[in-house]
Amino acid sequence: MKGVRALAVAASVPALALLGFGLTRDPRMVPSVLVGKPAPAFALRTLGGDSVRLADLRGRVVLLNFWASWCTVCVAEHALLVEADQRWHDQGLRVVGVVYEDSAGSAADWMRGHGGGWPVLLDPGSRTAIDYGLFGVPETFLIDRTGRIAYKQTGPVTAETLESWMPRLLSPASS
Amino acid sequence: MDAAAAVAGIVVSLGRGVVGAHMARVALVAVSMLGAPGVAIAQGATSRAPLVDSVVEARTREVASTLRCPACEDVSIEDSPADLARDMRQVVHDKLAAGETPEAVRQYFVDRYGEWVVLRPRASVRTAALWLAPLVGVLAAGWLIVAMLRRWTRGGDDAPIVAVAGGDRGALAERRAALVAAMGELEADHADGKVSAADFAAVRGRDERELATIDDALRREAPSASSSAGRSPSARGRRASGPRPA
Repeated sequence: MKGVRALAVAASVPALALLGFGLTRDPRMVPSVLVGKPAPAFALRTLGGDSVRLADLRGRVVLLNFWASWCTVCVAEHALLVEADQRWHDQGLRVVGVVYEDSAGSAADWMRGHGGGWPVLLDPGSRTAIDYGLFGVPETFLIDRTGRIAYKQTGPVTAETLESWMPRLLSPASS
Repeated sequence: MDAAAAVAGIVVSLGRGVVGAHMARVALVAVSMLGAPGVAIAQGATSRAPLVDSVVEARTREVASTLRCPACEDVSIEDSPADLARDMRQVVHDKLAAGETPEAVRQYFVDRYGEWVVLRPRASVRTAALWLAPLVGVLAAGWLIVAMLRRWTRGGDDAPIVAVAGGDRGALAERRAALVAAMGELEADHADGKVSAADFAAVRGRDERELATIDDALRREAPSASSSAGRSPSARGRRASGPRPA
């Protein structure tokens, strides 16, 4: 009987430890399986009607930002993207926005109001969003010069993230 | 299976004619669960033209109901009203209509959203722990219950617990020494006022009964050796007869 009790205790310790560990984790944070893989190709139209293909941006570092005009946290993030675009454009950064579950009209209004001169793409039927395994907005993918996804940000991009990733991705050594 | 398919086929035609689209939908899902041959038979009974469409529709529902909605998490994209779920259903539909297998469509989503997106995780080496854990848990719980029941039915408070009854002399002697030590401790605790008089009497009584049982067993096994065991613990006697330190 002593053996039974010892075994029960021995078995419940790791089980409780696992449960305790699980409680410290955010179940909404699902690590992207796409990191390290080639970024899914797309060919979409901008708000202005131009066609943009991901393949055309090969050799650049692409910051692919999924957003929507109804997304409140996207506002603060947008200011950061404007800054990043100005700061790193000459070194090869290309910011590309993809509008998610939104109308072209409100997206265009939003861009006029908040600034940012980068191409903003319309994604009918969320095809590209689903291709990128999108959970919601904002989500941002950093794509290196070879077209691989280097990093995925779920939620708004932070200054820290950009500070740590941009130099690495933009340095000539990584091209 | 043929009979079931035929019944489902009748329900399909009934649903279309009388009850309405919803009934037909339910019937189609039922048919799709029977597998492709069943669908072919059921459809043959009605019409030829909408065959591909309705099979794709049914398969779309089947696949969509196994995929988790990323925007709402605990419902499938079939059951979710979210825009993203609607768009994902369309992707499922289009891929199936293009001739992809349900498994390939599921894989497309797993490649993008991870295993997370599958509501019912598939059995594989990576998900083995997930599938086996409940089984192990149930077996362990069952074993624990059996072990405890056995312990409870073996005897109540009155029956002395002699775990080593019928065992060898060494084990009995060891148990006896432990018991004597425990009784000494109990007495000290009682003297210090740590144990109530009632508890002391009950535990003391139980210990004495067990001691008597052990002594009986020892006497029975080797009457000559343990006849003098009486009140003095045999462990002490053994120590006295062992090699002494110089």
